[in-house]
Amino acid sequence: MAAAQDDAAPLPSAHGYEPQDSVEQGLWYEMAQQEKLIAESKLVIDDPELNQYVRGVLCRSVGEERCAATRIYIVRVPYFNASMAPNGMMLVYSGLLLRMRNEAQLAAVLGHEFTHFEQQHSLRLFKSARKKTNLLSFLGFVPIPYFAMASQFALIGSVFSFNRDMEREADAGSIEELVRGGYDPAQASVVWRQLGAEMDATAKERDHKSRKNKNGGMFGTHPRSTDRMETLAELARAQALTEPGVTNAAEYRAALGDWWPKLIDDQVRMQDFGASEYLLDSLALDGWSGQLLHAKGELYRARGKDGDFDKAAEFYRSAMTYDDAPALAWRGLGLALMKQGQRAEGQAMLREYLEREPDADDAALLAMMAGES
Amino acid sequence: MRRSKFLVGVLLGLAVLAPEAAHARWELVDRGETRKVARSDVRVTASEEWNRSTTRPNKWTEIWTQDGTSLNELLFFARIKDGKPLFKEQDKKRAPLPKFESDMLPTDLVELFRDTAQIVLGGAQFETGTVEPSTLAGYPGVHFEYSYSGGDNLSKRGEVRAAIIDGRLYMITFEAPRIHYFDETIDEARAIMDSARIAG
Repeated sequence: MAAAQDDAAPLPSAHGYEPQDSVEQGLWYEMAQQEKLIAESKLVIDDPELNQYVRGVLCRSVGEERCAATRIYIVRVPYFNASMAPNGMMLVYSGLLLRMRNEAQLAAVLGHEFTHFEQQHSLRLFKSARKKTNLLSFLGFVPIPYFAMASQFALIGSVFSFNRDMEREADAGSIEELVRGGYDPAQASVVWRQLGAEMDATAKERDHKSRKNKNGGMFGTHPRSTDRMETLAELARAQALTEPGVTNAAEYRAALGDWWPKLIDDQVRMQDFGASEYLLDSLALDGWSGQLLHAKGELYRARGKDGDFDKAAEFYRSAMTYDDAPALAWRGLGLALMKQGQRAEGQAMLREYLEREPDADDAALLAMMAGES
Repeated sequence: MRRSKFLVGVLLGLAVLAPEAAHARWELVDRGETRKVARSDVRVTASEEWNRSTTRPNKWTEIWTQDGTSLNELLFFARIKDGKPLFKEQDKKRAPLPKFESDMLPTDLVELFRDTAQIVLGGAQFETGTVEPSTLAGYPGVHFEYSYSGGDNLSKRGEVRAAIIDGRLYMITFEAPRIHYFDETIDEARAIMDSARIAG
């Protein structure tokens, strides 16, 4: 794997690894401070089962021993991102979990980040930049919660701007880790294809050029996404596998369990109609559900363009034919009908919702709107 | 950075506010004083002392505080037109904010505020609480609670009173840290919301 790594030098993933010099010590110290803030953050998802699962996926790839150097924090941030700091702190955004279609894809991204870590890319960047700047301004990196203001694409890759070779090395590393874990290595390139399609969908809806081939950190990249996708696919094909790797799509869906509706809701609120619709339709490739149809209804109702309330009403009605339809579908339908001027029908739906959810936060307001008070 | 000072200032802390503080001037609002806010036709009456910022985030808002905007903050929004967002958009193309529409339902006003906050706050977990029918300046509207934890891990609570008056959105929001500050000032904040009148 590591062409650039001196064989004699210990890897940071080795048991008991310590920073090798004062520069690295400084970097670790700063990261430890940041990690403290992260660990206390209310954005950290502490669901033990989900944490165990994500950790299990990484450890299955890189092996228990190297995995031991890593501490994973899953944060409730609806962007497509993950990062790993030089001291072994890995951040996994909930928006990443929403976008992965199977375990192998998650393993690909985690393996990519792990390679940046193990090959000490951030340390190397820091050492080369050190003459020009000090540690703090180099880091410029305040971990996610502090990036609250940033737009999605400013946020992506906010941590370290790796160079082209480093990204290539991390991509190659991700393929090796996938194979090591018995995962289908072809899934690495599928991650980029999906991201490209999502960015196209955002751009189309917002009427600007897609950013999929722009620079900018981990997911928008120096090697352009399309080139990278092809290289990854070639690397995957070059693997002489004795047996095909697994994708574990069903396992992945099950492991995220109760988180799906929350992750979908977080995404739908982002006012990124194109990306949200793309993601919902992708999730629906495994079959529509009441949850997904309800989310589509919410998406169209929130956009509210000509014809959107009609479509929203249709989605809510379809959602209601599924056992897992959330009670909120009745609320959504009621509001969509009222927006269309179908006041009486809308009010009836709101009353239906209130029967299902008498303790809803907005029960008093809805009761008034339903003409009950 | 100004557009959303009430949320973002807290998130980003003093580093962001410091440059602005040099320009912002504060004027005292006396106990019992009735005055126009946000250069609009809305008048409110304070029963405690407040400080109003002479620097406004944009044309349609005004900021008041007692102990500093991160500890308690009243925001007045007035006369927001159809098609306008609550704050100035920093990146219209890539991070557009939801827009007010004059035919919004009361529930839509809650979602407008929530979705705006969610985008402005980025990763923060923003939740709305109890939503009730209410009035603002005698017009039917909505009153609701919200809470979130920003990047500084500080838990905040807020309440919002909003109504559409002659096709324009009027809104008063109060926000403070959950611990101590919110409870200390919420009654006064609600009284100010109740006191709002449209100057005839």
